[in-house]
Order: sequence, then structure tokens, then C-alpha cells
Amino acid sequence: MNRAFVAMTRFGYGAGSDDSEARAVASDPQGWLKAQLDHPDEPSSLQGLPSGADQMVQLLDFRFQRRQAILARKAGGMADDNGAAAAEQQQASRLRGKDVQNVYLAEVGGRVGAAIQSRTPFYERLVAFWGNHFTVSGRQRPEVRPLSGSFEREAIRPHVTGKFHDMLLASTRHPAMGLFLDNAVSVGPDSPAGLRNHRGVNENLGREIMELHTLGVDGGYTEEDVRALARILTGWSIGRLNAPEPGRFRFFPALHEPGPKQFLGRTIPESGEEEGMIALAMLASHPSTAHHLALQLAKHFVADNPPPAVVQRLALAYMKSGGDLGIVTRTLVAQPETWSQFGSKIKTPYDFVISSARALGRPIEARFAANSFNILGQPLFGAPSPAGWPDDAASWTGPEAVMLRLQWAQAFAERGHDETDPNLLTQAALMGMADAGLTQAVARAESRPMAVAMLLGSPMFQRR
Amino acid sequence: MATDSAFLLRRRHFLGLLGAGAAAQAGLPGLAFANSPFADTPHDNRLVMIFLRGAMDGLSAVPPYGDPNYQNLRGKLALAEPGAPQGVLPLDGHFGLHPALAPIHPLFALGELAIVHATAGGYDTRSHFDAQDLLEMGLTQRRGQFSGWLNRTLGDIDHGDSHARLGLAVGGTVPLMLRGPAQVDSWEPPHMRPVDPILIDAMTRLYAHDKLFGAALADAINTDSLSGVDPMAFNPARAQPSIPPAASARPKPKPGQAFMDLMRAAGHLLSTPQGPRIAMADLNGWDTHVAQGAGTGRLAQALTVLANGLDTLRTSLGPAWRNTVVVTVTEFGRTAAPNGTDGTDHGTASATFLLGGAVKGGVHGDFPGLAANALLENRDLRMASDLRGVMKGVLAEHLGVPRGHLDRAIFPDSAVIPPMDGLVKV
Repeated sequence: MNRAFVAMTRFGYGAGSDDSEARAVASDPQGWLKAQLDHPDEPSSLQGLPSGADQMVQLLDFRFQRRQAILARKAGGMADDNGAAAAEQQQASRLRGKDVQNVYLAEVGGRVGAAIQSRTPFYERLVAFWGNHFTVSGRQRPEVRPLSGSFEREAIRPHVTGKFHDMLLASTRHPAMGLFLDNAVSVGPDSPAGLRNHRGVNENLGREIMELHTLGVDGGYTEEDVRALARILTGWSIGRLNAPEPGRFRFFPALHEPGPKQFLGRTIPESGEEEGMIALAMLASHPSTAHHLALQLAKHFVADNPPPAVVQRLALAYMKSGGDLGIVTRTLVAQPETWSQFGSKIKTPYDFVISSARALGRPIEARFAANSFNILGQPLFGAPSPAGWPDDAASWTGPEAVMLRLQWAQAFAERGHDETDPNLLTQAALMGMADAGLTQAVARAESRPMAVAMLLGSPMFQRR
Repeated sequence: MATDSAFLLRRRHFLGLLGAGAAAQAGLPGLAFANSPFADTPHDNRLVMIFLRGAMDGLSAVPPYGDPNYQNLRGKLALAEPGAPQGVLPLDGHFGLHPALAPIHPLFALGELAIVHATAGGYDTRSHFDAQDLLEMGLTQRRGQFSGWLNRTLGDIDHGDSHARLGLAVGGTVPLMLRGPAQVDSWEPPHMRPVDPILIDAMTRLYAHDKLFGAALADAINTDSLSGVDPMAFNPARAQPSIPPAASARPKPKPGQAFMDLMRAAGHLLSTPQGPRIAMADLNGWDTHVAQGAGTGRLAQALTVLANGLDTLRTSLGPAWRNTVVVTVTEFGRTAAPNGTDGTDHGTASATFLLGGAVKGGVHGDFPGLAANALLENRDLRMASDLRGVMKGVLAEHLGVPRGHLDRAIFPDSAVIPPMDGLVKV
């Protein structure tokens, strides 16, 4: 198996028609991957996108205006112009909806552009992987929609080859996560605010941190631990409009549950925001976390059922390096199994669309990309639950899913007016690995778009 | 019934502006023609080009059943005489129309359907890609990057004060024939269409050694073919009443529906007062190497799609049909005799259809016949009429493009090929 092809396809997002890139990879595939960890591209398509704080402020402002309007209506008495007020409210909602959609599309365009154009596609894949690990989805929570992109850029991307602990902290503190998993409104029942307003703890973030982000569902924690972590994290919220830093992380002592907490067999003394720091540090350095993350990585990069030995080596690398994802990733790249099991993984719809664009050398507009992901069943930043998207074969290769891929391939193949010889395209995209059957089918296809559709639908292209 | 808003035009740049989105409108009404040496042309005449990609078997589309060698040579692929079951539809006693083309057959009696048999592009290749490119560029040899001949024609036609562009591509792309310096409009259908049967066949073969994808695709095809089953029907072969798999969210469209939708859009846009006048669309499915079938089968299905689409175009054009010429072209024909898999391989000459109220109906041009010594390389129907001659005839008489321009600019180095007369009502 051509190692350059494995490097580009399994670790990256597939080969393009750029010969020089292919040659550079071929000369030292492992080195090419490791170099990307040291010097990742800064994608130009991600410049100029609104920050999470900006978007949070817009949301807070919209809600504030809406509350004011409702209060004004109530104060104005019953016999007022119901019609006009309601119409105004509808108009405001419509405008807000448009704004949100525009931001969403801009983020889609940025993400897709980065993946397609990057000369460090391995890094982009890692960003997507960890972004999926810490899923922030607008699927069930529309107000989260404009925040997923900035969350990934701000909390995930900078830490992909750094310490996992830093990523965990950035994620937990990011306003998008606080909004998505309700921690922003979680209140300690015995806190000043809790006693005053009779509001309580929301366990959502606490549970998902342990189940999804760190230890894993079998990582050895109890329901008591979930409750403890939730109380520890009370007060970890978002600066309001009148705060010094609106829309950013802010610790509210008034929301924080007082008293010491028993967490994973340790007593954490009452210490405000510091309690959360201690808890997250414990989680980041826990052996179960090492194993959980190692398993996720092995599942993504090796096989749906990865060899236990690979998982163990990655977990060991994690523990020995104090949770250094750069070292763990390098260890991953060095595993023979990641190179020998090519084809055991199926491309997700996202992988498929991005690698198709790279193979054909065609950019994709945001709206077309968003529609494509929707049709293929993987709306970008729209996973159905905090668990994110699966990437096992069974999840993506049902009969209708495969037919939809072929439909999309047919449509995408017809869209551009590329005059490249499909035979050359096939050779370049598969780096010479096309089997006789595919080569022949492409050469004999009755039209260029049909030849290209065959390439994109072929098993070699669908697998990684 | 679709409204105007369903047929939104998109504007695109070509040749040098990759992947661009909407472009500013050219908006040069009549300007280019103020001092034009070319004759004034009424800008109400419409031309629609339909590219049948994959090489249509002209000997099946328009069987020369009157030829003494026809039945023998064609063997299993031969169609029966008029009147016989699945027999050809009569035209002039020598040629017939494939029964699947029934929807357009009445046009022959009305004088609105013309056939030029034994047409070819004049080039010497049996590669789909090469031949399609050459046909679309109007060349017989490659010359590097070259525009499409239909695009070059656009500059010769007076589009008056229209706000819309003269040229229109319907479908997901702008075919090479319409690409060039002149900007064209395009219309794209709102939904992805079903996978073409020929692509399904190809993918089934490609998935033969991939259990996962092979099984999934086979399942999907099976589901589609079962979706017409009555859920209450009792299947005596099984103990339980047969229950079809859950239907997809979207109702399954009829075969050929996508092409009919394209033709409806084209007809609508071409009939609008200030709209485009020269349109083009692609239709796949003609590369019948295996199990081509005679009266029924793979080719018959493709012809059904074509005929239904052409009929939809005609009704959608409304009164504008009177001023319209529709031309179907294909990159080459197919072998006269069947191959080892009950299909045909790549040949030379095929048949060209011209339809429209502006067409002078009938069978035009020569037919070299199917005698052994008449076949090219003992396998192909020979070319009797170069497609460029056919198109020159249409462009000259229907759109007023001058001869010199046709010989040099539209179809370079083609002075020896005269325009075919009498295809268009003058």
C-alpha cells in the first residue's frame, strides 16, 4: 500500500491534482504528517469571522430587546395595538433568524475552505476530530447555531497539539459550551442566587464532561460524582451585557454552591472558581481519560474496532507525557496499524465532500456545502447530541445513504466545467492506486461527468 | 404549474473565471450589431441543442427496416416491421421510428419532425470524451483550449433589447458547446436527480468486490423497485403478506422526470418575451454496450426519456414552438451488428433529429445502406452527412448566420462542407 496515499487520504483529506504536493508527501509520508503538527497552516478562510464573544453579545442583546418589548407591552395596558407589537416582534425574530443563518453559512464556508485549501490537512482533520469530541451543536438548540464555529476556532484549534487539559479548560469555559450544555444557568441551590430565586443545579455539563469529554461512560465515576462536578461548576457562566467583558467567561460567586465537594474520592474544599480548576485537572490526568481518548483516536484513525494494543500504546503515551496531545498524535502516526489497515474506515459525508472538492480541484460555496452535508445526513455543526458524529461504517452505509452519495457524486461531477481528462484525474486523486476495474470504467464512461461520478463513488474513494 | 420564480436564471462567467458566482449582466442590447455586416435576424427564432451523451444507436432510433440487410445484420437488435408487435412506427416506407419515440411520432405527419440519418462529426476517434469535445468545439482535431461553436454563434445573433442573455444552459452545468467569451444564463433544477441507470450499472460492477457498498447499493435498488407494491397484497410465496420497506421521505420520481423538468424549464424560459433564445441540455444513458434490447430494454428506456422530454419541451414552448428548431446530436453512432453481450460498440454515423414548428419535416440526406461493402471498416454505418453541414443549414436559414462566418469562425476550416438545405421552413 502506497504510504503517501495513506498519509494523504487517511490522515489528510485526500489528494488533489497538485503534483508537487504529492511528490513532497511521497518522499517522507510520516515526516509530512509530523511537520504539520509543528507548523500548521493558518487558513485564510477563517480570517474575519465573528468571535464567540461577539455572537454571544448579539444573542444576549436580542433576548434583552425581546424582554423589553414584552415588558413594554404589558406596561402599556390591554387595549393597545396588539397587531403592531406582535408584527414588530415577528420582524425582529425574522431578522435575527437571517443574521444567524448568515453567520452559520460564513462559518461553514470558513471551515470547508480551510479543509479544502490547507497544506496541513492532517491538522484540519485533528481540529475536526477534537471539535467533534467536544461537540457544540445547533441542532436541538438554535441559539447555539452561530456559536459552533467560533467555539471550534477558539477553544479547540489552538490546543490540538498542546495539552489536553488546556483544551478541556478552554472548552468548559467557552460561552458556547456554557450555553449548549446549560451550565450558564446552573445555580447552586444554597448559593445566594439559589436561595433567593429557588433555582437549582443543571447536571448537563457535569455529566457530559465525564461521560463524553474525559473519563468515558465506563470510566469509573458514580452519579454522586456527576452531582458533585455539577455543583463544582456552578457559577461558571457568561458575562452579561453590563459586565466588564460581556459575552465572555465569567465566574459568578453568587451562583456558586457553597461547601466542600466529594469528587472522585477526593475532598475539594470550598474555593469558588478554583474548585473547577482542580476538578478539571483531576479529570485530564485520570487514566480512564487516557484510555477513553486513546480509544476515540484509534477508532477514528485505525479501524472501527481498533487493536487493543494500539489503544494501550496511545493511552500510555498520554499518561507519560502528562496529557500532551502533540506527543500522543506523533505516537499515533508511528503505529504500524494506522498504515496497514487502509480502507478499513469509511469516509463520513464531511470527509467525502471535502475530498471530492480536493480531488477535482474545485472550491465549494458555503451554501452548496451546507446543503450537501444536510442531504448526506451530516449537517455541519449539527450533530444530534453532545456525543457528536459517529464514524463507524454502519452509521454511514445504509442503502439510502449510499444511494445519496451516488446522487451527490453525480450532481457534483456535473456542476463544474472542468476539462481535465478523467483518467488523469483518477490517477492523481488515487495516487496511482486505482484498480483495473475503476481505471477501465472511467476510461470508457459515456461522458466526463459520469466518469468523475464513478471515481467519487468508487470503493477506493469512499474508504480511507 | 411552475411559476416564474421557479425558473430563476443564474448568471455565470466562463473561461478564466473559475467557480465564480453571479456575475453582472452584460446588458449590451443591440450594441454589437449596429454596424454589423451580418444580416438582420428576427430574434424570435429559437434553437435548442440536446446532446445525447454516450453515442446513441441511430440504427435503432431510426431503423432502416426497408434495407435488405437490416434484419440479418442487426440480429437480436432488429425491430419488427410496422404493424407487428413492438414494431417500428412508420415514416416513409423505408425508415421507421423506434416505438419508444411514439410521443414525437405524430410530428412527422405534421411536417415538424426531420431526420438526417448517417450523420457524424467528421473526426476520427471512438473515445467518448474526445469525440464529445470535438463535436462541441466544432472541430475535427484538437487545438488546445477552444470555445464551443454554439457560444461563438451567440455573437452573430441580434437579441434586441432583451434583458436576459441570449444563451441558456439547462441542467447542472454549462456544456462545452455553450462555453466561450459570450456569457450565458443557466437554470439549475432545485433538487438532485436520481442516479442515472447507466451509472447504477457501473457502480454495481465497481462494488462487486466490496461487500459493504455492494450490499447497500443492491438493497437500495431493490427498495426502489419494490416501492410500487401494494402493501395489502398477499404474496402466496411467503407465509406473511409482503410488506414493502419503509418508503423514503420523498416520493420516488418517474424515470425521465428529471429530464422533463429540464425541458419544461427550457420551454418556459425560451417562450418568455425578453428571454433567452438559444438553449442547450445534456441527456445521458446512450452507451449501450450490454443488453441494449430491441423494442424494449435499456435503449428503449433512454428513447422514452428523450421522447417524453421533447414532448414536454414542445408543450412548454407554447406558441413559440412555431419559431423553434430542436436538434439532437450525439458524438458518434454504434456498430451495425451486435457485439458479444447483446449490445453494440462504438461506431461512426448515427441519426440526428430536428423538431419544431420551423422545421421542414421528412427524411433528409443520403443513406449509405447496410450492405457489406457499404459499411465502414466492415462494422459501422458510414457517414453521409457531416453534422457541421446540418448545423450550418440550421444556423444559416433559421438564425441568419452568414456562410463565411459559418465556414471560418463557427466551424473553422470547414469551407468544403456546404450547409444542408431544406431543413428549415423559410
